[in-house]
Amino acid sequence: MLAMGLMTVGLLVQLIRVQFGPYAPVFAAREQVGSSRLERVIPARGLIFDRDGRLLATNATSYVLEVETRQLTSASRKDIPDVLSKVLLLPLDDLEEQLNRDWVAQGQFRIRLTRTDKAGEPLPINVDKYVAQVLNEFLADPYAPDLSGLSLVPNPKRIYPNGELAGHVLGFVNQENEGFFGVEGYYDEWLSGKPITISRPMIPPEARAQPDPPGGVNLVLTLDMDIQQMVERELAAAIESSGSESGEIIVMDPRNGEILALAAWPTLDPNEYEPWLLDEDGRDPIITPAVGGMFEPGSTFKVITMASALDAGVVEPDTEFIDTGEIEVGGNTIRNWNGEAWGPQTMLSCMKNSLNVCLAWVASEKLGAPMLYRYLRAFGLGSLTGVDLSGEITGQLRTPRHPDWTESDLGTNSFGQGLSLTPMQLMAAVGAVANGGVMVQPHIVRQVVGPNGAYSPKTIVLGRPISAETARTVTEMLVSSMESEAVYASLENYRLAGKTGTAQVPGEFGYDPKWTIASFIGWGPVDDPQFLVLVRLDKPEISPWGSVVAAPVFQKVVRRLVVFLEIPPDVVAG
Amino acid sequence: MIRRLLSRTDPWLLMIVAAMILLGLVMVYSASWDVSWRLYGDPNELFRRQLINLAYGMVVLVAAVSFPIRWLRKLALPIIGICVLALLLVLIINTGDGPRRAILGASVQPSEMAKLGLIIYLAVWMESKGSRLSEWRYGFLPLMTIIGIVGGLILLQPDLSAVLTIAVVALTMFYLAGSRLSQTFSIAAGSAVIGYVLVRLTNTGRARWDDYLAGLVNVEAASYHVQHSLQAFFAGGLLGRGLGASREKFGLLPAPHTDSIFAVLGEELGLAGALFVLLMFLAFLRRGFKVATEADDRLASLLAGGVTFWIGVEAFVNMSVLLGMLPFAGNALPFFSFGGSSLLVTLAGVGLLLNVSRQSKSKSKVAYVSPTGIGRRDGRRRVSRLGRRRRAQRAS
Repeated sequence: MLAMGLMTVGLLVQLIRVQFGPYAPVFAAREQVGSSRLERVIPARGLIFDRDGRLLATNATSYVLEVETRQLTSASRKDIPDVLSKVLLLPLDDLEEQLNRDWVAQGQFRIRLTRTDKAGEPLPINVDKYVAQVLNEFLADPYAPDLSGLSLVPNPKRIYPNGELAGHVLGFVNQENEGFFGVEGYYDEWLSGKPITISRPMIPPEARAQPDPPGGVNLVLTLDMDIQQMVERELAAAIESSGSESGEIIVMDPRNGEILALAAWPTLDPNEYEPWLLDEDGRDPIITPAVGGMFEPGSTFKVITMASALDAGVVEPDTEFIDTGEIEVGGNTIRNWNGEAWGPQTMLSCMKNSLNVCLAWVASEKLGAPMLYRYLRAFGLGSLTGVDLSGEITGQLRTPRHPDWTESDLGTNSFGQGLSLTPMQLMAAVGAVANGGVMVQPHIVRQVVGPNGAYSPKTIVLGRPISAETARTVTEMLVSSMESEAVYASLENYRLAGKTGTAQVPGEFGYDPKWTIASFIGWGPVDDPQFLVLVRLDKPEISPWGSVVAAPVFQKVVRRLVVFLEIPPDVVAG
Repeated sequence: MIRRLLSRTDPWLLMIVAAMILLGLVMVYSASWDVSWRLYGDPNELFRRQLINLAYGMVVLVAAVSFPIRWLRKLALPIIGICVLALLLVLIINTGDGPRRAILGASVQPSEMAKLGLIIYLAVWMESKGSRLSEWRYGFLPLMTIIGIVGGLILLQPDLSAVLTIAVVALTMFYLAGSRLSQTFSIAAGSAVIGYVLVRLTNTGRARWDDYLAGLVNVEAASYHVQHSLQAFFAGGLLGRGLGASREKFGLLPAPHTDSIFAVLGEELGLAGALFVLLMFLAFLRRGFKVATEADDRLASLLAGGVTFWIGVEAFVNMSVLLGMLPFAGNALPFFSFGGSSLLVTLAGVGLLLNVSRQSKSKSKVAYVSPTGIGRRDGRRRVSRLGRRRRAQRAS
């Protein structure tokens, strides 16, 4: 009874002490804080559509496998690796090792299960909703294998329903929900929206509506999936038939810079981007080579040189030139593509016959270095086009100010050697010729659709490197050159302008004797240009020449393109 | 029949118990719905189970009231035997690393049964030993053996707080039964040493002891459970947040509907509610010990004393723990906490207590014979006189 009495008194004292004692302020402070859990809410990533509203990128939920190490039992340490290795076809010993490490002693209470990729790097195990359903059923069923400790954490996953179609344009999103390359990389901040941190009260009566995080914007691209698919098919067929290593086709509207199709080989499936992260031969595979890869353009570049010379007024289309078969510029002898002397020529026939000696003469004797490089600068060479695709590089253009620049560069640059540019730079520069001298910025996003409405980027004029008059003259030269040099590229009843290119591949010890880059750039209809197409095939086996390898591809593409774009023939067959 | 049975029992005891059970039901509903919803997806499920438990409990109580106490002399051994078997069973059936406390699909906790079983057995055993209880060989050693077996089995589960409860109750009964004070104290001292060793040896015990010492000095250093329990009491203020308005019960306070229900009550009904519960238990103890002292025979007296003390110990330990005054023990608050085994066994104990009170009442009638009475058979007024048996009793 005495003990009971003492305890009663003790309880009374403590009840009152809690209420009014020295710790009352502590309790009061904790009451103020309240009990809520901070939670980071990640908004759904914006969707990507083509110009007709066809879905290119969307979201789904995948699950990351995590283990609460304190909840593991001796049975689940054995059953979790067992089940996962069977369901996901993963090596058993690796999983067992992960589960049987003494995480608690290391202060790790929650671990993320990983698998090993080809390079030996650990990657989180991601399972789709079907596997997640199976695992959840196992967790709920007392007679199933013991998976206690395992938990499935939902993780947003990007889905590209079209697979590798336009993969190089889209880029990809990694497991941390960060976009890389292409549109995903360029517009990552806009697409991902802003994650916000909200505090969720743990007391049900205090629960209230929580604000949604500002969501990511949706993007409508300028791509036309019909054209894109056609172009990708033609590229694949061309790669196949020519035995090329890689290749590219870009279709752009030269009037406003909208990219209608952009295909690259080898293709990239953004759903399975991991092989593209690996350094297989010690080189990074180039994703979106249209902006991220550079090449020596070769003869297609003669369009720029000739346009510059004509615009500067130093030559006319009928300016005469006697081709002796070689010319020395800065101590470097330049020869023609077949090494022969072509005799008396005009500028028009120089372009028709794609004579290196002639163009080197124009650049060195007529135009001169300061003028030529001022024009090249005006054409945007050596600077970014600003196209909205991630990973764009500037290319290489050595101007006379550059310490490594020599006089011989002047000669070689004139016909597209000794300088490197990205396909997109070439598109923009040649686009100026096609578009009456007005160079517009290429772009891939047609409309940004946000919660507060839609915004359509305006056409940006990068500059007017040449006059409209010059542009018309160059166009006419190319129209007539196509009729003789590049008959494989021309299409009956349509007036097209274009130029082939056969560039040697620079290697460690000068130019590679065997491999070339065959290309063709052309546009049409010349009176109202609606498309500018670049075809580029790397290291073709059947023939080194752009006129043989790339020109027919251009023709095939254009034949379909005029149908898709509903362009009537210029000449109505009588 | 039930009315007749209960009408002759101690009315105060009956009212106190009824009041606590009713308040307990209200609190269980308030404290359990969130847990119930999380576990079963139905906020009423746990409350429904508690109602069923209570129904069984009332049956057990009525049975215990009507049960002739002298039969216990024959039944004590089988009862303790069943308890020991159940304790063995719980250890054998359940495997795994966690505590093994329940059998039959987690619905029966043998350690709860064993508490009452041991009280019954000890009462019968102490009565039979009579005055020889104080002898070393007849009293002390066998008592230690019994407590050792039952306590040891429970310790293996492990359920430290149940062991300590049993030890304290047994010791008190030993003292009440008339052992020498010196013996009781020596046992108490010995138990304390053993208890301390046990607490230091087991991991949970040590952690809880350290938490306790830290918490006594500085509330902020107390264990998570005690901190939230004290937070609940503080939040309750003088009159409470109001019935059903507890915040701590939503996943912050562990086991809100079982072990921590007193804290939920303190938060919802405030200091006033907590004091009311304390007073109810004090009243229960007072009536219980009164019944024990007024009991007919030694067995009834020991039984009543043991049961009252046991319920009192459980209640005070639970309340003290939640107020951070005792190291943590996971025991239930009798009449309040959710739990079938605990409620059933408590009500069985209360039934036995009422049973004793019924008999002591019939005895007290002997002392106060009314001068006049109203005849049952013919309705005539007649001079009261004792019946034949009672005359014989008085004569003896």
